[in-house]
Amino acid sequence: MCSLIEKKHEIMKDWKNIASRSKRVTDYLKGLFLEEESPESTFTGDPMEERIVERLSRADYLRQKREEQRRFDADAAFGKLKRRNRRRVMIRVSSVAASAAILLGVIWLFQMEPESVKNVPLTKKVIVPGERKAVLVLNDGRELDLKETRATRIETAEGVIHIDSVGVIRSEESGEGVAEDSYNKLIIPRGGEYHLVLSDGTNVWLNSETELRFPIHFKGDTRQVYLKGEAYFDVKTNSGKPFIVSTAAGDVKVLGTAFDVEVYDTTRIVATLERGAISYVHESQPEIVLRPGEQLAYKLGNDQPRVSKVNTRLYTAWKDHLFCFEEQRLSEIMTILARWYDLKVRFMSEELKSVELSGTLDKYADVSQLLRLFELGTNVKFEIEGNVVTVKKAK
Amino acid sequence: MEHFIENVNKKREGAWSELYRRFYPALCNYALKIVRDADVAEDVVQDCFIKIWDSYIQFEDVPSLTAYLFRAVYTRSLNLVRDLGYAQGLHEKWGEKMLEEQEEMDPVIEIAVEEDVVNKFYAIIDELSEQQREVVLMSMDGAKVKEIAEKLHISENSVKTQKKRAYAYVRERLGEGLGAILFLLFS
Repeated sequence: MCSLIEKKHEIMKDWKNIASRSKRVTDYLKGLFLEEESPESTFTGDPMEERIVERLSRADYLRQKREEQRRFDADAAFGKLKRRNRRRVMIRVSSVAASAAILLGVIWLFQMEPESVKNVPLTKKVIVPGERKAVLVLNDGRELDLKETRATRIETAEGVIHIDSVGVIRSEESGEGVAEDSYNKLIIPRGGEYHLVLSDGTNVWLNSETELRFPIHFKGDTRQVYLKGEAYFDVKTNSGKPFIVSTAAGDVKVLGTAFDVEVYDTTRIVATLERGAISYVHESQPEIVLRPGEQLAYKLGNDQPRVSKVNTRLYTAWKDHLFCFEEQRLSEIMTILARWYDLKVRFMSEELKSVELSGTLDKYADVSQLLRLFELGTNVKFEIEGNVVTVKKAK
Repeated sequence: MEHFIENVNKKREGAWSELYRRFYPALCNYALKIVRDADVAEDVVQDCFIKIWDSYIQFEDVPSLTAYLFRAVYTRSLNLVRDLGYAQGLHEKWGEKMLEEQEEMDPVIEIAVEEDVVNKFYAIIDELSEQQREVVLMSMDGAKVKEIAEKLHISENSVKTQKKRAYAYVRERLGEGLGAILFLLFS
């Protein structure tokens, strides 16, 4: 009896050792295949590891194993899982309200001036990625720090605001009608992000350094919110009540879809539409309707907004906790990193700003790891001191 | 590394995309040895991932995650083979006794380790730019700098530079185990 239990225990341990065995073998192969002059090292592992090493040391066997594995497409499989999850969410949402949810994205891009980085207090010693955090300012003046808040229910004159344990704010109107819209404000600091569900069922993902003013419930003929910074909207369709994102650089009118809006610079807007339809309205300008995959860029004061076809993924990846770059200038990449990690960036020479990089990175990774990766493929060197990153040419 | 596990536990898409890249091909090829059908193997593995996604399982570290995945795929594949009433694949090859005698668990682990190594190794090489990847793969096959330069129509010097950078990158990435970063391409 006792020996049986012991043996069972052994099996458990064996599964557990796959990773450490795999690491030892990988380290050996790394030395064998990836050193300029491969040292005549002998592997002194246990018999099992010896056997694996012997097989995999043969380039033709290794290549054959690779071909075997290449038949299985990891990205396609992950895509299936994501689509399955999305379908489940959609079903849940549409059972709550009868109207259909359509996805739509608009983005405001902007070039942040170096000066705007200056007024950030340089007190933090360790650079950490951003996190889910926000301050909710109610229209009656009450303020709530949502970073630490667990599931909470807030009663206001107009209705109830729920904040659930994963940080989703949900607003719900109370039965009695209230005369007019009263707006609450959600403030996301540098290094923060947040997800909010409005009372009409519209989902909003808010990026760092962003402010959204929203009512508990939408009265009147339109559903209007006010935005500074960047947000991705997944708007609940209601053709009788258009959804309008108002910004200092014009309004984005949702004609039935979901979208992401970025308005960090109050004088420049870039709106990118993922699906559905939105239109851009600004003062005397004629209304411009965007089609899916199109991006509108407009600098206030210029003659006309420019509309072009883009890869929308690059502009909406942030809400899925990713940075997605495609031949993007280092200066723009650093601006994005600065906002998320709360950094100050100094370029030692102008030409470094135009170094271009592509890739998909995890927003929650350690910044020094990201920068080390940048260094490996380029002739750029990063120095981190406090929360200041200096960009230099590698010697 | 803990960071990766934390994000897998929190069901973050970035980490899960990485999780698939680093394990899916290995697990499928592993299941294939038992179920002997590529589509069935993929279904087995996908089911295991979905089960984790839908559960509240919290993994402590990469070794326990690795153990869980291979073990789940192994058990599920074996059950499937049994249910379908055919004894073949691994089963046939290693003999029936493997199921009863613990000593015979060894090949099961051995093959898992081998698949895991191959997957991790190439997952990182696949992150390189096309040219760097070509250079690395040809070098691994024993090609000389001169031959590579001729085949890729680039100078010997740029073969050397690409090789140096690519090696540095792959060594670094392999060194950190399962990193938090996804991938980066150099222009």
